[in-house]
This record gives sequence, structure tokens and C-alpha cells, in this order.
Amino acid sequence: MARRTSALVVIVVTVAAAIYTLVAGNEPLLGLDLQGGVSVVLQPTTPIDPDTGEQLDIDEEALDQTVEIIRSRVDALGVAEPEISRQGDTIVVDLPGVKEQQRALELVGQTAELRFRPVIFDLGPELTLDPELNTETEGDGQPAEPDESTETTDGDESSLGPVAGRFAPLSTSTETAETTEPTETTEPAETTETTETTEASEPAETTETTEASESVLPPGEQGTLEPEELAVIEACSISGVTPPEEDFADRPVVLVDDTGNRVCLGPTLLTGEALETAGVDIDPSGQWTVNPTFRRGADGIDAFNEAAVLCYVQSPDPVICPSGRLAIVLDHEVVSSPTINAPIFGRDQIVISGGFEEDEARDLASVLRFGALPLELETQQTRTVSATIGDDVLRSGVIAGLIGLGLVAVYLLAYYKLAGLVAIGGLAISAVLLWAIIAWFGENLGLALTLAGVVGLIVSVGVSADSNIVYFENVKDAYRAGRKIPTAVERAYQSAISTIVKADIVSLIAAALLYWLTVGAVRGFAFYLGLATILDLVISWLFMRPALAYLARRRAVIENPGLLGLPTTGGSP
Amino acid sequence: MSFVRTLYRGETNIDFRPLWKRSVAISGALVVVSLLLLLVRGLNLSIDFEGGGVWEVPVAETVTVADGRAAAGIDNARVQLVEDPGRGTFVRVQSGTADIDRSPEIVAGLAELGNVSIDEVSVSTVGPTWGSQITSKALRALVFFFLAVAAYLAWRLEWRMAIGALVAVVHDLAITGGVYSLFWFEVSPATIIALLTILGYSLYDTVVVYDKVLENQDSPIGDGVTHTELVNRSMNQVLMRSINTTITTVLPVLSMLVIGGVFLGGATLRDFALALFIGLILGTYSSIFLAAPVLAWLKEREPVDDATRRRQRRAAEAFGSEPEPVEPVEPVAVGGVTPRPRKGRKKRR
Repeated sequence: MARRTSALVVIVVTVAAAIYTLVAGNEPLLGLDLQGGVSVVLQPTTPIDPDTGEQLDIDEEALDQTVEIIRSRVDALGVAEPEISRQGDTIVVDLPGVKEQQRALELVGQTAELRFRPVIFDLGPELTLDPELNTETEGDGQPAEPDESTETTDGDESSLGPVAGRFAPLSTSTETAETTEPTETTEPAETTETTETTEASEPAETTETTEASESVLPPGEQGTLEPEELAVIEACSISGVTPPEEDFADRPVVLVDDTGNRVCLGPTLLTGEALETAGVDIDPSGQWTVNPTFRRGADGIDAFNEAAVLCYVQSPDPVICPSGRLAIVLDHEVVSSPTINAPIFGRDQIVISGGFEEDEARDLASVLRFGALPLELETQQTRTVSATIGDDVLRSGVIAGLIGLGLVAVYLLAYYKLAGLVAIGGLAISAVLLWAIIAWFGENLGLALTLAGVVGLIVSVGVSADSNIVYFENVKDAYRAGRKIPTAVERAYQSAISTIVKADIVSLIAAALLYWLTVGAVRGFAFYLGLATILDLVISWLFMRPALAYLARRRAVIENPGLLGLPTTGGSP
Repeated sequence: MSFVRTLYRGETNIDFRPLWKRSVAISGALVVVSLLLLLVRGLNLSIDFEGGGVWEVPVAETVTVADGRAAAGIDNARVQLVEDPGRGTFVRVQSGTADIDRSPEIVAGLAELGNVSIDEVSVSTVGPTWGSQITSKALRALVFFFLAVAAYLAWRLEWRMAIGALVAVVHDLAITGGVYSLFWFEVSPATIIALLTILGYSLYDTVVVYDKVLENQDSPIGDGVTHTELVNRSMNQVLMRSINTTITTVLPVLSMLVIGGVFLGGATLRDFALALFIGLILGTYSSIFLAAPVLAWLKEREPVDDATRRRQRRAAEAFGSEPEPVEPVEPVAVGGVTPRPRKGRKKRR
């Protein structure tokens, strides 16, 4: 009989799936709430047309590209199973199992355009000069750190490290470093001696640089610089820092660098798009360095060299680069501001040194590599779950699930006797298939099982059990109406399956709508609820009836209907 | 004992009608109270809906709330000591969206307080616009869901049943919301998921009940009885199934609630289980005591329609052709599924 084969097919498929899963070594991929990790939700800020001020549509391609960039940035973190997905305009980054959570958060969060700006003046520490302004600008994440900044103004070289690093050509790096050493050391020293604003122009008055500046700058240009000069002076005379919404690429700004000093920066000379890649290395003196490689051509290395020349000559003109330092600015924050040690660089012959720790060097390289995203992103939600909490949740989830299943099994057996076995068999098949499918998804699609998913599954136990209960109760009705057991089993199926299909379709509608219309955890829940419901349909269709029919034909059952949980006196003769 | 036996044998003959009068009144009152609570008192929404940050770190038992506040460095933050069974004490700092950017400092401060690495600090921040987006998305999903389910039920069952099912669902959601408001349980995304599940269950349950009504309506059982009686009789038939289904669905949820809440840690698990538990009980109750009377009431108002006339005609024919009322005609299988023609119909007895 075809029906009996269907039950056998279901069993064979289940066993095969179990064996395959074991042999292939597939394991369910646990979501970050079950193993610890980091989740970040990002959304692009709606771009605004600079001329008309109208909101522009978000470019689909740019969004896809952004996802790719974030993916490569995350890969650099060495996370085993990062899940980076686009859900509408939203980008969801899930990093289950990531160890260095705080670092991951920072790295994923750094998403704005990378800009190279010349350092015009050092404005000294961002002291609480104007407390009101400080609280106002608190939102941009650079609170005053008086401790650190006082240290740096002392001209203490070691603490200056990351800021006052050096851009040096690779081939001659040791040489240039040596030759420029004096300039470097005098510079911070001057900061302490001279007042904030006059200091900047002083080093520029050395003989070698004035010559260079004449040769580099077209003579006519100096006269036309007036308005820009004014802009710089105006921009840099504010007492706090430039608020993020006024941080325009083509205007001078005041920002806080990573040691807490306020610096006045000129307009952007080039952006991260000029960069091709960046790596790290250890120089002969054992220091970690960062080695950026620029693209070829006018938008790449040429643009960088133009900026490098301006800084190398320390042009006295305040609009250009009197300090000789080129700041790397990402997302309203000065990541590093190394001194330019040569006028001309080969595109892959550049070294940024400055007493980096390994982590610092790697992070800077990542920022250089992936800093420039085609879109500006806003972090909407971040969540970290420590590994210990994840373990706890998983453990209690699994224990709760098993106990729940056990109780359901005992109840079904107690109430429906042998028929309960059919229900338990169905649940077991469903459990094995779900395990195999989830493990396969985890292994091949990187789809993780989250706590919400686990709840969806525990809930589906109830739905599966219900399909059986609906059927058994219908069998009871038919039996009471006077049918013999095997006939009752057949007849009851007609009405039962109709009810089951209707009810399951309601569940499927729910799962599908939730999946399409929501984001994040609800989606995971909907996915697994849908999956379990489909399995319930399959099992109700192919397994439940033949299995019960098989039992119903046993002699013992026919003689004692109580074995199927049927009322012993209910059947008509 | 004898009641249990009749229940077990599915031979109950409870007259639900007087019960329904009371249950509908009680449900109505509860819904009104719940809606008032929701309007006046509102819900204890987690930061996921309003934006803000929550930082959590395991600490020694000697740590005080004041220590936590000092370590986080936010004066107006809500700082709590949370005892999690099996996991020890936690300091939980909750603050508004303004402090999100200071997260790294707060993490560092709390890590120092707990004497753990910064990666042991759990952080959850939600931007100000994100929360409202999530909420509006969930609401949109809910509206679409209602429409889709109503359409499906109207097509597959009857439009009156679609209304009855939705009344029951809204009832369940409103009262669950009322309970959350009354006890000031926190509403987290986990709660929302649980609510959506309740919605599914409640409908599922109602569909099973209504399907029985539909089945009986087209069969001899429905002949010559009023709609209310028909619904009443169907209720008796599905009663055991409702009870059993509820037990089998409540058992896993109860185990989540107990395991997550009492023995092992797992705040999220507890969040899920609590809403599910309340909702499941309500879902079963409403399908028997609300969805059923609403359907009966709606049907009583329906003019004598074709279906009824068909039934009456069929009843007449049945009595005319066969003497025995037990098996007058081949009962039409449910919901429009026509009986399969069989070769050599099996003997029935």
C-alpha cells in the first residue's frame, strides 16, 4: 500500500539525514545570544543633495558595496562565522563568538569617509576651557581627558607616539627618519615654549622649506588664498571642537586627536578612495609600522604626493600644512597624524611609524583599508553578549527544551497509550530532521540558530503534538460513532488533515509575514517556526496516518481498543 | 472521577450557553480594564523601543548600587543590582541615548568594578530612531497579519468565523498587554516575539474549534438545531482536544519558565516563557469561551440562508430514505473536501 511506503520513506529519509549530518560533521551554528558575540545594526544616513538640500535615494549598489566592505573589515577580525546581511536599507552585522568584543564594535562602527587633512595648528589639550561647549559636543564621543593631554604637551616623546608618527618612504625610511629627527623633536618642545597659535608658523621659517615652497606653489596662487585663510582663522578660533554636523570635507575644522589635543585641520586633501590597501610590518628597529599602498594615477598616489609635498615643505601659509603633519581623519576623529618625512613617495613605498603596539598598527591598517565606505552609516543598535552568558542561556534552553519534550511524551503516552507512540515518533522524526536541516544551514549558509529560534522550535513541539491530538480525537469520535478501529483511523484522517492544514497555514502565514516585515530576532523566530510548521505538515501527511493504521491493525489493539486510548466501552458492537 | 471519565471518552455534554454569558461579560470587562491600564499606565518598555543603553557586568556580592553608578560615571543612570539564580550578582546600568557614545568608557569603568576583562561586560545600545522603527515595523507586520489571516479564514471557513477569530486574538493580546502593564513586567523584543506566538496559537486554536463547527454544520449533526446549539455541541466535541493541546503546549513553556526563572540563569528565556504562558492560557480560554459564543451570536443573526435550507432539505431527504438516523447519509468530509470515491466501499460493521 502506497501509504505504508510513505511512512517508510519518511523514516528512511530521517535516518539518512541523521547519518549524513553525523558523517559530514555538520553542527548547528549558534547565534551570538547562545555563544556570546557582537551584533550591530547599521543604517545609511539619507544623503542630502548639497545644492538643493533635498533628500536623495539610497543607492542600492552603494549599499551592497558597503556590505562587502564591512564583510572584509570583519574578516580581518578573524571571526569564524560572521553574518552580514542586508535587510532592506538596514545592514545587520552579527559576529557570534568574537572574542575581542569591544574592538569589534569599534571596527564595525568606524564607517565614515576617511579623510586626509593637513594639521595647521596644535591648539593644545582640550581642557575644560568652556564647560558648556564641552557638554554640548559630548555627543561626538571625544570627552576631555585632561590626564593624557597634559602628558603630551610636555613633549614627552613616548606618549606622543601614535599622533606624531611619521610618514616615511619605505626604501629610505631609516635615513629619512634620522635626518628629520631634529625637526621632530624640536617641534613638540616648541609647543610648550610658544603660545598656541604662533608656534605653527615657526618651524616653517627654516631655510630649506621656504625655498621648496616657492618652487612648489604657483606664484599666482598665494594671492588668491585670502578667503581660505580667513576661513581657517575663523574655523580655528572656536573654543571647543567643530560639531559633527559642521564637519565638511572642504572646510577647515577643529577636532580632537587620539591624545586629547585639539588640532586645527585644513580642508581635506584626499580621501580614503585614493588608497588601495594597507598592511603592517615590523621595521628594523623592531617597531610596528603601517604600510599603506595608494592607487595609481591622479586620484591615487599623485594626490597623496601633492599633499605630501605641501606638508614636507611645511609651507608657512596657514592654509596649507605648516606643521608638516598629515592627519588621518575618520568619522570626525583623528586616528593618527604622522609627520611627512619626504616630499615624494612611491605608491607602495610608504611607512607610517610611531611606536605602535601591534593592535594599534593592525587597527590603523584596517581603517586605512576599509575606512572609505561609499555611504555614511549610522549605528542603530549594538549588542554584546559575553561568552559566559551565552553558555548559560544555551544550557538552560537545552535543558528546558528536553524536560519539556519529556513531559509532553509522558503525557501523550499516559493519555493516548500506544497512539502516543505515533505522536512521539512524529516528534522524534521532526526533531532529527530539524537538527539535520539547522546543522546544514549553519554549515553551508552560515545561518545561525538564535535563542528566538530555539523558542520557535520549543513552541513548535506544541503544534506538532496538537496535529496528533486533533487526529486521535477525531479517531475517537469516529470510533464512538460506531466504526471499527481500522475504519475509524482512515475516516478520521479526512477531517483531521483538513483541520491540520488550515491551522498550519495560519501559522505559515504568520511566519512568512513576520519574516518579510521585520528585522533581527523576530526574523529568526519566524524562520524556525515556519520550518517546523512545514515539517509538521509533511509528517502529518506522510507519517501519522500509516503509523496509526499499522497499530490499528494489530490483533491486540483490535481486541483491546484501550491500547490506543479509545474508550473501551464506547464502540458499538 | 466520573466527569473525568466522560471527558476522557469525549462524551461530555456540557451546556456552555449559560457559561458563555458569564465568560463574555468577564472577558469584556478584562479587556476594558486592560485597555485602560495600557492607556493610563502604559508599558514598561525596554530600551529596544525607546533607545538608550544597558550595560551589565558580573560583580562581587559586596558591590553596591552607588559603586555601580560611580563606575559607570553617569549620574542620572538607572543602576540596579540583579541577582540571577545560578549566576551570581550583576550590576545593570541603564541610561538614555545621550550616553551611547560614551559606551567604551562605561564599559571600562564597569569592567574595573567587576574586576573582569572588558569583553565580559554585556552592552546593548539602541539609537533613538531605531526603536521607533522597530515598533512601527512590528505594528505594520501585525496589521498585515490580521488582514491576511482574516482573508484566509473568510475564504477557507466563513467570514463570521474570521471575525470571531480576530475578536479572540485581540482579546488575548489586550489582556496579555494588561497583565504586563499591571505587574510592570518589562516588554522586550523577546516579549514581542512571544506575543506574536500567542497570536498564532490563539488563531490556531480557534481554527480547530471552528473547523469542527463547519464540519458539523454540513453533517447530520447540524440538522434541525439552532446555531447556538450547533456551536455548543461542537465545543463538547473539541473540548478534550483543546485541553490536551493546551497541556502539551504549556508543558514545554512551563519548563522554560521554571528552568529559566528558578534554577538556571536566562532572563531572555524567562521573558519569552512568561508572555507565552499567559498567552497560551488565554488563547485556549478565548477559543472556547469567547470565539465560540461570538460565532454563535453572529450566526444567529444570519438570515435563513442557503446553507441552512440545504441542511433542512437534506435532513428531510435523509429521514425519508433511511430509517436509521445514525448513518443516514455518507457524512460529507470537512471543508469542501469531497469524499474520495472508493472501490468497493468497506463494510461498516
